[in-house]
Amino acid sequence: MTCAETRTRLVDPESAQQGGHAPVVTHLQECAGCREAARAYAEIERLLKAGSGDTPRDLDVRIHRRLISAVERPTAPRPPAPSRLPIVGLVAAGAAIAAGAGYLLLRGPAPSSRTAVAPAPATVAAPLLSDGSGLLDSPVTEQERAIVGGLRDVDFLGSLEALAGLDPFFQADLASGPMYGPALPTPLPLPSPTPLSPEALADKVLAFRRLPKASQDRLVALNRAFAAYPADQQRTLEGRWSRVSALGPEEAAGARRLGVRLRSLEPDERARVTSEIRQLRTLPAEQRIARWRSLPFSSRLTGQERAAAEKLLAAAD
Amino acid sequence: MPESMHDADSGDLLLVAANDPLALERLLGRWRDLLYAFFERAHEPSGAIDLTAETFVRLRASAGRFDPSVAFPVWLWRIAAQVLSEAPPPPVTSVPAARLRESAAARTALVRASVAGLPPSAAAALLLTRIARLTVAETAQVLDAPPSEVRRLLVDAMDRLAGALEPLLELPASLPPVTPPVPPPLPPPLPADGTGSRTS
Repeated sequence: MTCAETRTRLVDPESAQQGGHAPVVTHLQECAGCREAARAYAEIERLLKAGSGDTPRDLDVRIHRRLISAVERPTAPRPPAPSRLPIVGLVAAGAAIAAGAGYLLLRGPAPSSRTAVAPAPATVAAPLLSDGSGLLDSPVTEQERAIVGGLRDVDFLGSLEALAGLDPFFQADLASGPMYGPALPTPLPLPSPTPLSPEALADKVLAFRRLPKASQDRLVALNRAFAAYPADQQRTLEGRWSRVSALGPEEAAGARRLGVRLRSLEPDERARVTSEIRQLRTLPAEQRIARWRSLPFSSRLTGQERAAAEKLLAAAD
Repeated sequence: MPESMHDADSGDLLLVAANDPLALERLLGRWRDLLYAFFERAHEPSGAIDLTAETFVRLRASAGRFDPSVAFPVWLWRIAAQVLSEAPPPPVTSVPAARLRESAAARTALVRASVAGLPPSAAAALLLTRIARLTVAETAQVLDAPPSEVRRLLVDAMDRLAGALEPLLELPASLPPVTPPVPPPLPPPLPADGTGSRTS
């Protein structure tokens, strides 16, 4: 074994598991230069692993600030056609809004999302609120109160695409209005978000002020556009949001991924999978899961996605 | 279906492409500290934070192009390696040997400067295998190079570091254990007149 081969073995982290050390040992016994290199390499490994200590406390805050500042200025949302599926016009608009990390602070009391997915880590929100930026120095105006107080939950708006993708799991047809079975909680009539306490509104205004102007405009436009849709279509989406949110954080995330995955299928495949899932819904509840697991589409999902799908199927009327 | 499709990180990156804010938060939570450690070995903490943040910005921007057939770690570390290679190197640090003995911060600064002074691909190979704990094969995927080239880069990195860190490598790895000094045997008492000689 040559010096080069020996050193190649010495620097390979997997070398220890590979066996065949005898030639390396033999070479080291004979070569003082490689013995010296081996000692130096070991010491370098120790220095590298040591690092400098703990992760800085402001790491999270600075990453989020950078993410916010990196949000590109989005284009103005196109007014959606009222007679068409509401999702189409909203998804693109919601995308740009959700892209800003400021949404974390704007998670609001979307009425049908009381059991929503786990909130953002407090460590994200708290430092932003207390960084002395002075954003709260100016009082909340009536206009801000009207605009920000009426905003819907950004998580809900950001989930519209996923909710639309879950169509096969719900009997409701967006064109004909929702149908709710006994296991599905009927959403309350929710023409506007629940009024906030003064403190909650102040927090929400602060979060809103922190968003880039383009995101503020887009959020307002999106909220206004969603509010303009027929009430039954709003209720359909809010009902789905309620069902998905109630699954729990992990499975709710799985359901959202599942919805996105369904929407990303090629049209032919999506039609086939949709048909298969809808057929499952005609089976007795005790047979649905076993049949679902036998579908090729099911085998391609993650554990979270499968669990979410099974819960939705089990609860289907 | 590729194994990566069953990976939570891959799934979350697909959701990031669909502007799912919670998915980005989950990725941040899982990868933030390791990414910071990766950059912190070559840059001082504030710079390392900036590079970590830049990696997440690019990760988010790349989500729409994410190919689920590529393992998520390969995707992520490819971005991180690119960010590392583009970062301006920190100023060259010259630390007197005496200061190295006294100050852990000085030793850390010297290690950082030495790693940052490596050729970019060698630094990336070293940090990917030592800090990100990728295998040589995975590192080869990240760097788009054959494994043999990665091993060559690692030897190059180690040899260069051995030279740059020479004053540090000569120091003892750690201080000797602190033990109470053993007193020498007491000499026999002197004769009362003080003329006796000490003999052992």
